[in-house]
Amino acid sequence: MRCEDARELLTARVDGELDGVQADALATHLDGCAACRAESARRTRERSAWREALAGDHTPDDLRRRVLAAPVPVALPLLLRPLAWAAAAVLAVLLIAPPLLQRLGDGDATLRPAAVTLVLDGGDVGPATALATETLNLGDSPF
Amino acid sequence: MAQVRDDGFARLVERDLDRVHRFLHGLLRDEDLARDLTHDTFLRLRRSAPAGDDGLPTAAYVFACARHAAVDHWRRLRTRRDAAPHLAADPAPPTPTDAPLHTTELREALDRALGLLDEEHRAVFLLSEVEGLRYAEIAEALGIPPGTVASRKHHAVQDLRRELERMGHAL
Repeated sequence: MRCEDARELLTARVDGELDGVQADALATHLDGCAACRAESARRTRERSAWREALAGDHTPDDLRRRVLAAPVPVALPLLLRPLAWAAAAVLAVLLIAPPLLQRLGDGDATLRPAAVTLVLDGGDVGPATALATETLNLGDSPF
Repeated sequence: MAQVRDDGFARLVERDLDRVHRFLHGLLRDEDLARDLTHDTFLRLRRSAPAGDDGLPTAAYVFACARHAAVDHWRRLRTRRDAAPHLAADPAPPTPTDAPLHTTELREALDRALGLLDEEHRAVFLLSEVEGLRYAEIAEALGIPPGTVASRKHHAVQDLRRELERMGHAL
């Protein structure tokens, strides 16, 4: 084994990451290489000192309080999710149907195809249908 | 896999808050940002973390969330910089600490040296050397092969050592 290859294995060995075969090969190399033995001792010292220098911090209390105050997510049980979709669909129909029926009932025949198109495009169709369209937009739904 | 329960969230904060905050501080080198993204990370974990046998998500999952928060931030920053190139991140000074003087000096030197590593090597170094994650856990958190973790760790150590020697902090 060349010293260059041994050095990468040394880093892994100090981290406790060598398998048996690699560890045996490295041990054989170290038996005959004083420079790599010194390197191994140095990496061990370094790791301990660097960890001590970098790992001492604790999170500020205000951040801890902020994190612990994170809102609890509201999640519907899996079995209820189809019911939630069905309820949303019924609500949408209830919101869309009365104004459409009202306007169609008033005899404004020109509204018939236009109304459908506007609802599907999510266009400016007045407060009631706009609300219904928004209700149907389930892309951001928590369900 | 089950979700983290309410009582589990407090345990998760107890187990991982210091680690996530420290990791993000080291990765981003900006304390205010590290605080914000630590908060974001735990919000994500509260919403959707899968719980293991002990009722908590794995360390790999937690650090993957933290790194995603950092990556999202860098993406937003890049977009803003494209729109306003004068915006540039200034490296923040290290967090004040109660450590003894020699440790504090080494800490400051390490902070400066870490700033010279690229993000990929810095992330591996912090997760392995400071947080003590196994290479397999780091590989899972960062989405890279374990062999790449070993190689990045080794090169990070070599680069840091060279820089510390230049600053007079050889061990």
